[in-house]
Amino acid sequence: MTERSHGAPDPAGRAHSGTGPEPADPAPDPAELSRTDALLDALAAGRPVEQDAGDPAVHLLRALVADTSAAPALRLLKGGGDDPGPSGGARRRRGPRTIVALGVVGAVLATTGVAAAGSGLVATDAASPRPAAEDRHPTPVVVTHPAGGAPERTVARPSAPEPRRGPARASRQRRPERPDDPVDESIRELRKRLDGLLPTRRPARPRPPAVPPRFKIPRPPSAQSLPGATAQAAEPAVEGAEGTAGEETGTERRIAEIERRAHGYLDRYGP
Amino acid sequence: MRLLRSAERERAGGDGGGDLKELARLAVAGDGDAVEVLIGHVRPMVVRYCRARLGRVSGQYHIADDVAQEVCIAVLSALPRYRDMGRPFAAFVFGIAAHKIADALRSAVRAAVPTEDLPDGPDDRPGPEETVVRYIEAQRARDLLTRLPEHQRELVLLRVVAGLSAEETGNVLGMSAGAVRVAQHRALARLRAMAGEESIA
Repeated sequence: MTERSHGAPDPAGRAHSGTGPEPADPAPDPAELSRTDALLDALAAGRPVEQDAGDPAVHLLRALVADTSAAPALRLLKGGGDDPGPSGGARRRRGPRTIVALGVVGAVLATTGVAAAGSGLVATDAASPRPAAEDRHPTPVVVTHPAGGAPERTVARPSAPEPRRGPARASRQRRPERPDDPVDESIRELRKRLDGLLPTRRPARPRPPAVPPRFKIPRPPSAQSLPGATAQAAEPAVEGAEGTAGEETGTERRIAEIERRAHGYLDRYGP
Repeated sequence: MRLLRSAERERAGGDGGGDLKELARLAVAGDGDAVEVLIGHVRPMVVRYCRARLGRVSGQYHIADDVAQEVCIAVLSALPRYRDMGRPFAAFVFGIAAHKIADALRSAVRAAVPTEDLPDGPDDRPGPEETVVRYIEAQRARDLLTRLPEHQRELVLLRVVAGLSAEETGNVLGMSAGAVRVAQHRALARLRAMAGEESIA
């Protein structure tokens, strides 16, 4: 006879398979079965049941169902956007926030120099000469090698690019203004306020009136007026013509000197 | 489209006990609308089932929801290979879900828990006290369910949390509807007894 080891299940005891009907349990009443079935259906559907108040198991199962059902992850996000999911609030907030952000950006741009210059709030310096096209695009410089080699073609370093004010303004003018656009409207409103605050054109700075000199500024004493000056130097006697006559005389003298040297070189090295 | 509407009507009018067979047939045939409606029906059940099986991690259901998402993706991927062998479509879905949950339990990791954005409006969810009470009671229910035999625990979860009918649950678990009704009656009686013992203690 074999003996049962210590702790082994008693073959005469109740089976604990848990899957099939236990032999010790009495056969359940069909009415009870259908009542339990209806109870579980009601729990799954979230409907109220009579036993909820007094039955702790039903109460706990209901709490479990509520806990597993109460979260936004159960909602399926659709492409149509009619379901306010977790990002629905952000989508609703995006419009006003965008308008506010663009309004602030517009105000900042309107008060900065570039936008003010572009919109005519600040007078541009029209008198400053703009570089010509050939200045902006420098012509190549041809350098001849001193040893008689082939000329090297080099390109001068281009100057810094000039800000393109003209085309930017033209593109801004070409942009169609939509009267119903709230962003454009807010920017226009800000610009209008700035126009009211700042004059569009600064008045020209008043120049001092041309006042005739009341007294003549004394000239420094020239070499001719000094005592002991030569007669040649004192030749131009008329005031105002003395400088011109002196310059012409010096120039002719220099030309004559150059011609003389040229003739000397030709006589020496010429054929 | 008419078939889709009729299938949806059948599903809606069947108080949760209807079959997804018609929708599944249309979805397998390549009807995009049917696929969307089918997933829309299946996903809440799968999410609840995964939450009930996996529970919360760091107070959140993120891992369970991720597993539910993987289940839905796996269902979509396996949809072209689905063949109607007489079993309901839910059996196909929860078969996949059981495998995914087993994988998740094997590789149980404590990942970083993402948090929601700060609410920018009134919060219509239950307050802190109600949330804590519900959380404690749900945890008690999970503890009691873990003390049930595995087959009964699975049965109760499929019936109550996933919302399957007795017939569908029987198809998932390989039982007849009558056997499911008897087993669920016994499981509920055992839960009552355990809850009563806990309340006395």
